[in-house]
Amino acid sequence: MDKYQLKINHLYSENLNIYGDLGNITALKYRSQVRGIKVEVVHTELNDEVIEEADIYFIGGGQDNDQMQVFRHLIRHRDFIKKEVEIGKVFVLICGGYQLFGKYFLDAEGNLIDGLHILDIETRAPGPEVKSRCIGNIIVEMSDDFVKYWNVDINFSRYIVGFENHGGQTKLRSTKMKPIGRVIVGFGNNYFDRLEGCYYKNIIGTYCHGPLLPKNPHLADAIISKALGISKIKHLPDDYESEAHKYILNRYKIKT
Amino acid sequence: MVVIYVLKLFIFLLRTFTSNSATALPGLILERFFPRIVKRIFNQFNKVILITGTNGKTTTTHMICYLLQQNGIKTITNPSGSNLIRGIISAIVDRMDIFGRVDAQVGVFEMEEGSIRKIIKFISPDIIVVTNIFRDQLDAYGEIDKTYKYIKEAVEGSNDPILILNGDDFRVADLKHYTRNTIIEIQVDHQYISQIKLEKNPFVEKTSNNTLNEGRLEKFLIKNVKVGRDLSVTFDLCGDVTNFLDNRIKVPGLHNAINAALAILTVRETLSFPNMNLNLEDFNPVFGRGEIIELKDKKNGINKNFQILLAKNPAGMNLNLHLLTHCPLQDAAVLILLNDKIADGRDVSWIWDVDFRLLKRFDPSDIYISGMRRWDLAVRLKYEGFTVKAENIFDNIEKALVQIRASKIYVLPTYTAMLEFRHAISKFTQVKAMWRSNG
Repeated sequence: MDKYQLKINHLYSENLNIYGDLGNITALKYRSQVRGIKVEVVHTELNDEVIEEADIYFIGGGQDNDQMQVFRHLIRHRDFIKKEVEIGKVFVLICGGYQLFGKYFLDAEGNLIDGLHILDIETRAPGPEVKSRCIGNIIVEMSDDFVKYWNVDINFSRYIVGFENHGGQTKLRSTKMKPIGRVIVGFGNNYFDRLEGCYYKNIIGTYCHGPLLPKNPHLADAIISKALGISKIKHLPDDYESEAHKYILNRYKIKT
Repeated sequence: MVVIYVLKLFIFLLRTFTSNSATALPGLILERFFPRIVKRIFNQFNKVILITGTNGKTTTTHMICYLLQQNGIKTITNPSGSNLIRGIISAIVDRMDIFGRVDAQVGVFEMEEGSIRKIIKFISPDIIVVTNIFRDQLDAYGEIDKTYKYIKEAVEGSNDPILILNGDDFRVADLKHYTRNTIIEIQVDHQYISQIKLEKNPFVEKTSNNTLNEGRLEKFLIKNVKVGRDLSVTFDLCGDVTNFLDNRIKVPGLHNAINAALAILTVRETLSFPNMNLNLEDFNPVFGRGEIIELKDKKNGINKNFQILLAKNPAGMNLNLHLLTHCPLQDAAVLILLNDKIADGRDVSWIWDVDFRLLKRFDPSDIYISGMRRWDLAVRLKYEGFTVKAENIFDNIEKALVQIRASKIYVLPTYTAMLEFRHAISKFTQVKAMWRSNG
């Protein structure tokens, strides 16, 4: 696969980085390089004028305070992002990054923060009906639609495992916004729906960190394949990855 | 005082008839139902020093006790790990005589970051020492800024305490706006700063009601840090007026030089006589913080020396990995233990923020891993470019410590993995179950 090249832009790595999200970049990089795919990782930070063009854009999660800073930067580049989404670039958005792509975020003080309006989702801070943050291990069973659209290798696993840590309660507002799957353990988008994440065009938004991709190599490969526009990718012997993935499933007695 | 008798009897019965070391319960009962007694309990000390922060609390606390004792001051402290209010109260009750008195002049207590704001309703500390605020157990607190807020509330709510601060941590340094008393700020020489991997956040919300500090602000710099092959450290502590030169500590690493500096300057503020003894050379590492455990079994020809370097968060792990760039490689091995129980933090994402490239000087066959989340660690190291062999990955810690072929083994465990390791090794040799001050 020597002829392939992959450029990843890790956005706001200096501000949105507290949940080990760097591991997702490490995973994409490692799994590409092992297959002979050339990888370049670039960064866009708050003081950068432009967002560098790439094949995969990644935004992680951070503290509320940092997310606000990031958002002020991101909104200035809305047209560029929208264009990239339209032409099918891949976006991997975790937690805070996921929320910012929605319609709005209603914070704990009642302030309505306008989002990028790219995903038709809305997020609210926990209210009277939901008192605490959603924190803990999470297991999601991917929907058939998601598996098909992203061409995920379910021979590895039908599940995605991770760790969630978020206050925001996210709702998908239209049928165009499809969830990644059904929550088996944990909370996901919110306390009530038992649904996790959202995909639309080539955007994946999710609350799973932990980080997401090292423990879910089937998803990492799906993302790489999508970004390269290929339908088959060389199989890797994911021995340790599989054990790490299965550890969470076994812990909650879920059959693999 | 009847309450005290009953509780002391209760502790005695618990100790006698259960395996429970009875650390928390009596304190919890007093805290909940007898707050006035708790105030009286604290009031009997001439001074109370509280130590908080993410990393380094235990070592700093015990260094302070050690130095005070060297100067003839009787101290009382809480056992490592019992750092909630109830644990502190229990530790005091445990040391009381039948008249409810404690034979100690100074109370030196390690406090968990989230609880320190709650203790100030019982006691206004004379000195608060803050080591650092790192990301740690975000599954418990959610965010680092929250940890900062809790400590700030404690400082604000106290009666203008003296602050001894790690000035390199911008959140810790910001606390100086909330007292009108003396502030001692310690920083490391800039050449070492990259090793500490401080939390970056240039956008912390600046509070508008910063009080103008009216007290003395004294700054110190840690210079000439040298780590020996046995990982012991020497350093100079240089102030504007006063210098403390050629400090030696057996507790390994730059981070412990910072802890030692905090301890030295805390004791200097506590005592008021000249020529005090501030020498930490004979201070022994406590409870998994650089502690050495020998395993000798003549019958089976085992002679191993384990050094435990507690690594419960990315900052701690990075510092300890830096440390291991100084040790000899001959006949040495590294054992990393990763658990995800509540006391470890249930989220192990942080291992991806650790710079494991620092281990590259070791042969991969000298790296061993175990603990509940060993596979996450295996993937982490694999993606860093060195694959740990399957036979070096142990499903139980006891197997690991028996089978590792090396005479010097550096153990980097999370908190509960450290406890498990001690339990495992205690089957072969004697280990202290829990570090207690006998001061």
